[in-house]
Amino acid sequence: MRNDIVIALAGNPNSGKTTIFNALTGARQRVGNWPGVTVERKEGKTNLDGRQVTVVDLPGIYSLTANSMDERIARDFITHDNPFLIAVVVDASNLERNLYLSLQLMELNTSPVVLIFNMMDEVEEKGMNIDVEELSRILGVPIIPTAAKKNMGIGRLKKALAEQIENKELAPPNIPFRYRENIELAIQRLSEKLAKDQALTSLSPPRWLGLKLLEDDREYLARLEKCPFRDEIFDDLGVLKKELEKEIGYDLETALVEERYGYINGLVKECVKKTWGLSDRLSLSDKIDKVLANRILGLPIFFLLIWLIFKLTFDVGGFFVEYVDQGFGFLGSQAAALISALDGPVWLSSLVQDGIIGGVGSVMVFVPIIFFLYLAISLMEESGYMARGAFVMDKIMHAMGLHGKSFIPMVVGFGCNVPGIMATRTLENPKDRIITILISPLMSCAARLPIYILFAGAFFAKHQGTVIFSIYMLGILLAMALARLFKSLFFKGEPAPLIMELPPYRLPSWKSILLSAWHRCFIFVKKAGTVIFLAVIVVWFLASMPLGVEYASQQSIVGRIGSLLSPLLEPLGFGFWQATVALVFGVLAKEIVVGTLGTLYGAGDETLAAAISQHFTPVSAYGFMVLCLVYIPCVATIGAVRKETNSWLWASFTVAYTLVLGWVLAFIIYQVGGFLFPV
Amino acid sequence: MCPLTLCHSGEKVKVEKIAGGREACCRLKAMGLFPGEEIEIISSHRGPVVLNVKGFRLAIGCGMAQKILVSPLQG
Repeated sequence: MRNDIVIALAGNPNSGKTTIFNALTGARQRVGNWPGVTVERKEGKTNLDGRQVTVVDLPGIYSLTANSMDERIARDFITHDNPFLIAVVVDASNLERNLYLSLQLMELNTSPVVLIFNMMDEVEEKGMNIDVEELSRILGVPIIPTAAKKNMGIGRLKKALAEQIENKELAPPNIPFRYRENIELAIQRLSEKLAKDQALTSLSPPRWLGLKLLEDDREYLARLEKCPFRDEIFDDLGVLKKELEKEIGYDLETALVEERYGYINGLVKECVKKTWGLSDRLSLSDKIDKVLANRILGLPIFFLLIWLIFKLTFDVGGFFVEYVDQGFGFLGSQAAALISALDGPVWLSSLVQDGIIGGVGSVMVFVPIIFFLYLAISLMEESGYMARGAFVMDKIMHAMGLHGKSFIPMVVGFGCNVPGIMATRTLENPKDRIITILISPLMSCAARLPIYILFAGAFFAKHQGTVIFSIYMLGILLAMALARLFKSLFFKGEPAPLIMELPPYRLPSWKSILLSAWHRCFIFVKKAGTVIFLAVIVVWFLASMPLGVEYASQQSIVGRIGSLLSPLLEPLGFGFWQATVALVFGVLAKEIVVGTLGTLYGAGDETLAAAISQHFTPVSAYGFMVLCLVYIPCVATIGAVRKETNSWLWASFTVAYTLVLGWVLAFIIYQVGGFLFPV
Repeated sequence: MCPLTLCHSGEKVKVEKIAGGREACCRLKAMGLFPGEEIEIISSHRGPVVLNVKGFRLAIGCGMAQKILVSPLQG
């Protein structure tokens, strides 16, 4: 048992739990407009009337029966961890379905419950009027209206939560809802028997247990296996179910759902007044969907969107790159001048100019481009398009052995593969999930972008955008082809059907997407200043050792290491040691590929581009980009594959297949390309 | 009675029967789609469909949509 006061935020997917969490704790957890943004449990602290309270943000669920991993995380926390208080975040603009989970959490009867009616602004826009006080009186739980996205009602929410915590009589709710008489009798009969087993009832109250058994819930049936009165209860259960179903005329599980929704329907009729017709916003959403989620137009539009993202990223971001580059060049020469003016040692000036400015600087110059990439991804995430993408792609994904929802981790992976791999948790079928994880590293992340920009800029200046776009497309195509292959090799069987809520489109506020892009960019810069900084210093050190050797020459340690492995890259057209070293260190983080080249060839994007154009041909440069796309994912991604598949085997498999595939592709490109375009 | 895949956009129907896997059925029921419920077809692509269930939009893939049987509502 934990001794801090824990408030659990539960609720339907996309009801705004994380927005509330961020508002309460001051955290900056990622939010978006699609079901399943949050896939893990996140904890934060908040101060309620001078008392430290832990707030736990959970993935969204529709009911307490969990299928996918994210749902299981949420369900297990609610049913096993006995939070001090469950705050159910309700999308009030979608009241009926959201109250279904609320009702179940009240039926569960283990923790006190408060309801947070979020998105009240949309309720108003819809022309609905919810009698919150009356609803709260009927259900016997406090209801706090908020519009967390607009930061409305947060003060009131904090006050209400503080009151609940101070409340000495705080107890699990006692809702007035009852099923029809014979179902109640059956529940009662079962719970009386179940109550005799204390091990069983220490986790959940007997009434809830009885209900779940009648519902045929597999996990609760499995729990019963250890009960000493098992046989007796199973016999009873069989008889009761049979009798009830005979009387009802169809299966009991459906009847239970029906009764709950029936009760909610009554509540809504009593407490919600619609002052005018259907929502304009929703019908606007439907109109947008006529185009974006269209059977014929949907796919071309998706590709057009990706292309537009590139256009925006390069045209706007590229404009700033030059200035940042000049800035770093200036900084480097100034620093070197300063050090020599102060009679500093030569090695220090080399460390600063070659190592730090050349290495870290060559990565940092791409920050503007990366910022705009993140901006575009945030825009996609917050608008509501992600769920449509999953819907539009479902058929193709199915043909490729994936699931429509695999689309979301793939797009998230364009930012960074690690959250992309985490996002697979929403996939219900473990097979679909592992395939999606295995192909995720082929989605070209932001860290690989500097490599493409550098090489495409040096060799294909006129068609830079097209060349980079082709690399991204190649990644997507390879991912699909391999998914198909893995499916037929390791994971035969039908994928789970696509069942997904399409949230209404929402116009993201500039503030929120700018903040989100800024936040991710900040993480990128932080990484450049820590991991990449260290790696670059190691490369610089190894390039300066042993003492007396010419800096970055083949006789240096790094030169010798590179030369040892470079024959392997000879058939790919870049069998020189600098490229080899860059690729080896690039496994730590893909930004280091450029960082290493910058350290070895000297500072500044211009000089670096000039240096690589002496060593590569356009064909081998393209091969190098493809190799960087495919070969061994970075250490963090390998770790994520291991963690999410819970297997070193799949992690090693990912490393092996990407390495072989990358090499073979680069080989084909160099050999065939060299034949087609002789230098 | 016909499967959802044969319905047209704009049609209002009543859910009669949901076949298909247990997990999928369970999820649909929790989301408010169960036999007896009246729904509206927002868009149908002779495969995947988008439905209006209790006021929200639910997308269902082709394979699953075939397993949901509905009957048309008058008016």
